[in-house]
Amino acid sequence: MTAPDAERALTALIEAVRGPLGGIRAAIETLNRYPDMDASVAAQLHALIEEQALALSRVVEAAAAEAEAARRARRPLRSVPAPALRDALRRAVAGLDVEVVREAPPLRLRADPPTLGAAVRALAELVENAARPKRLVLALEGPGSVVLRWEGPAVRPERVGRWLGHPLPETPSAATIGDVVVHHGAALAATAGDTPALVLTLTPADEAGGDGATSSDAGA
Amino acid sequence: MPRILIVDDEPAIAVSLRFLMEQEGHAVTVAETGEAALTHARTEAPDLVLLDVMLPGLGGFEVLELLRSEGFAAPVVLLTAKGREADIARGHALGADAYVTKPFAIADVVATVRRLLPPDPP
Repeated sequence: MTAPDAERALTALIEAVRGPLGGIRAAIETLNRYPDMDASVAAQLHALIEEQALALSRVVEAAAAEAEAARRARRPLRSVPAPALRDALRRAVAGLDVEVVREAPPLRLRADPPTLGAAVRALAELVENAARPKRLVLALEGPGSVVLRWEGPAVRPERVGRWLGHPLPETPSAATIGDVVVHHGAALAATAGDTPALVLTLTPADEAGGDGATSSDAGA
Repeated sequence: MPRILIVDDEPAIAVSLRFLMEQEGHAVTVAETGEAALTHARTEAPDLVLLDVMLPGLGGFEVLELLRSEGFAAPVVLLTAKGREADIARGHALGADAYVTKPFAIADVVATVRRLLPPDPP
C-alpha cells in the first residue's frame, strides 16, 4: 500500500468510526445529563447505544480483516530462479486451459510465488471470461516479464485497471490482484495487436539491491 | 419558540439532539435525508439547522450550498465525521456558521446553538 493509499484508508476508517461513536457519545451524555428523562426515551437511547456499538464493532472488525489481508499480501519477496517461478506459475494455473511455455530466461526474480501465482491464475481466468481466447499462453520472458498472451480480442486498458481490484479470496493473502502487483513492485500493462497480452513486469533480483535471500525452490 | 431543524441519518444522534433541543425549549423537526432537509427548510423556515454532512443521497455540503443560494439566512451548524481541515474550510466557504466534528460533546452543541440563535425578544 502506498503512502497516499494508507492515508486514504486511515481517513476512511476515522470517518467510519466517528459516525457510530458520535451516536454512542451523544446518547450516553444525554442520558447522564437528564437522569430523570421519560423512560421510553431512555429505553430508546439505550437500544440505540447497543445498535451503534455493534455498528462500531463491525467497522473495527472489517478494518482488522483488511489490515490482516494487507499484511499477508506483503509476504517477503525472495530471489527465485526464473525456471522455478515458471514451475510455480504452471502449478497455479493448473486446471485452466493455459499453455505454459517451457523456456525461461536465465535470471532470478524477486517474487512471492504463492501470491504471484494466485494473481496470475485470477488474471488468466479474467482473460478467459473477457476474451474467450482460442489459445492462452503463459510465458516468463526476459527481463522479468510474466506474459499472458492470447489469440482473440484485446482487453481495454480501463478494464484491466478494474481487474486490479479483483479479490483473491482463496489465497493465503486474501488480497487483490492490485495488492500483489504493488507488493511485487511490478507493473501490469495490456497490449493489443494480433496477439493481445497482459504483461506483468517483475524486478530481477540483482537489480533490487539484493536482500541476501536466495532460493531454488519456488514453493507452492 | 425557536424552531430547530435537525438533519442526521444516525438515529442515536437524531434522537439525542431532538431531546436536548426540546429540553432547551425549541420546536424540533428531524429529517434523515438531504432532500427532506431541503423540503423542511423551504417550508418551515427554521431558526437554525443542525446539518450532518454525510447523508444518503444529497449530502450536507450540497444542501447547505443550495439553501444559501436560495437566500436561506438562518444559522447552519454542520455536524460531521469529516474532520479534515479541507472539509472544515469547505463548510465555512459554503456558509456554515459552525462546524462540529463527531463524536462531539453535547454541551458544545447546546452552547453553539445558544450562541447562534437570535436572542429572545424582550
